[in-house]
Amino acid sequence: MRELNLMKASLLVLILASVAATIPAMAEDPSATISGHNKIDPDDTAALARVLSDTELSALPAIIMEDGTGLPGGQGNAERGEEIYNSTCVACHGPEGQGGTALELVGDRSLLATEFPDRGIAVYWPYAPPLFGYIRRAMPPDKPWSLEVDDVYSVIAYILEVSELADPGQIVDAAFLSSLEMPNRDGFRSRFD
Amino acid sequence: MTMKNPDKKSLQVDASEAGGGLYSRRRFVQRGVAGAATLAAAGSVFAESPDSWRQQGDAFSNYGQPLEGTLGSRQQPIRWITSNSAVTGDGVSWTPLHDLAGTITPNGLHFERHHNGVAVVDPGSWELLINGAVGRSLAFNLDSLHRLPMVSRIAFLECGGNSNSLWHPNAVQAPAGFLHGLVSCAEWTGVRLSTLLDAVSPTDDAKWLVADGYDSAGVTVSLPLSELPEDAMLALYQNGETLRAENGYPARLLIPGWEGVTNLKWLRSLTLTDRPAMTRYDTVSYTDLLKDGTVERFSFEMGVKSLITSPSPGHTIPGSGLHEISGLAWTGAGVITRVELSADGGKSWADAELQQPVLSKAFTRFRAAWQWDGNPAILKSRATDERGRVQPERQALIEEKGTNVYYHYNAVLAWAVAANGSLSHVYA
Repeated sequence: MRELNLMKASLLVLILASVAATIPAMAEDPSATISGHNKIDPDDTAALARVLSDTELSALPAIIMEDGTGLPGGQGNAERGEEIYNSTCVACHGPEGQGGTALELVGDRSLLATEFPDRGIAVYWPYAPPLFGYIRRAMPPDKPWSLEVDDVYSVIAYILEVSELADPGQIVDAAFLSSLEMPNRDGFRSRFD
Repeated sequence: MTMKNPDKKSLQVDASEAGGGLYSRRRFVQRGVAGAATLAAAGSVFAESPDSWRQQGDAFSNYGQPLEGTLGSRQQPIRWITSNSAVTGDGVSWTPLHDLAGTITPNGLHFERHHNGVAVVDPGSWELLINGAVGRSLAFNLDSLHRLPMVSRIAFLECGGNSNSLWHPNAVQAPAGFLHGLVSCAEWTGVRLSTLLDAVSPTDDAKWLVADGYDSAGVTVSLPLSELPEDAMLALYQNGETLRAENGYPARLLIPGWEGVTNLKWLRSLTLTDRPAMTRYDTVSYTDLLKDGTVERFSFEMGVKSLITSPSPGHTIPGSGLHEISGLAWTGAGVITRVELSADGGKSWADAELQQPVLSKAFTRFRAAWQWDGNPAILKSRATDERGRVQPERQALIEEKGTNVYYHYNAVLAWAVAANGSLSHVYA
């Protein structure tokens, strides 16, 4: 009990001391109020962080933009892509991209306003370059980030070919994907257009 | 309105004469004191001293666990998992809203939506990169983030695809939380996004933020700085404890009121750009296919929505007489200003009482007393938010947007009560 009472007493002293230390100061000068996130000097925040050098930045995997900015060098073709597709993708996406446990990659393009619309790449990918970023990052789900750059371009070449968006034999690379006009681009809209 | 009178003692709804047994003030005044059914003395639990009086209690625990076993006639609340058969990490687990009370979702029951499982991130080597259209590219580690001033706020978080089975023509039967529980509400603590963005000195070209994570599903989203709410944060804590792995440890975006996918988990980089990147998650998913065949992008804000959590499908009302009707309402616009209840399928409505305090972009609990006469009934709730938006009826929502939207379903929900006390989900 004695210890408890001592603790209580010292706690009370502590509380009183802190009240005495802070309240009058705040009352006298409102601008001295502690905190205020908007008042944090950005340089003070930055001082806690590590500044990245240009060398380190250039080595980072780029965000791939809709116009192809960020796409890596390299290339692929549908012949090689079909091999990869049939070993790596077909189990979920079905033969020739017709769909399965995963979304179809090839589908009816005219059915967007029907009851069960197909979601093939021709209708649901208004831009081609993000295909690269997504497939490289996320496919196949059991071994993501496992396809080499040329393999990703090749798989895209195959999907584009069966979607009738690229001619057989088309070399697919950054330049081709950047220039490819996807057919349903105007079907997507937003208040930022 | 009840919201402005938080001290009002009674449970009743407003003075209108809503039918179906919803309490009204008139009814409350007219009724006298009725005798409660007397309990039979024999076999009463009070006849003998309880076993727990004769033995010492259980031990302390370092981290308290949920109760085990059955909870009387109640269900042990658990998340219900539904996932892709071929890719088990692509799926959801639902918050059991029908088995919870209050407004805060326990951390172990917060809904999950993963596209390829829970990312495992080493906190020691984790850094958040902020680069792109900036004066200086910075990387913050976890220790540095913990030195920055933080904020706490309670916010709901809802997957854009919550309730999406209701776009289908037939009403799916499942407990309410397992159709609508891709929404949860927690107190989040973290560093304001503006604090971090100020530090990198964004250039004039910085108009969008492209957020990327440590996950293996390539979930990357483009967010417009012009609309990003001031209260957006980099969340490090959830309900007082460190973020759980399935909720984005070590850090996630928390954008109050915006659809779940924008609240990126396991955050790795924020790249400032002059335009959206149009990633897969900006186009293929989380976009709204409208009935004219066009696809609307960047529909971030969640609509005004409510549901009755008790009683709800999966529950059985044990008998006629007094019951509380209780549920949750929320809106991405800010504050819920009104929740109306109907016990007769929408023929008549009465205001429910809103549990105070009503917080912006957070769950609001609503309640009303209901005297059930034992006859079939249809319960509905309808929320209104501070922008004056009213939850639409299902028919109106479909007429406006069609049935292929997939995301942002927020129509009024209806529970049919059968004479035996069971409840089912109906379109009514």
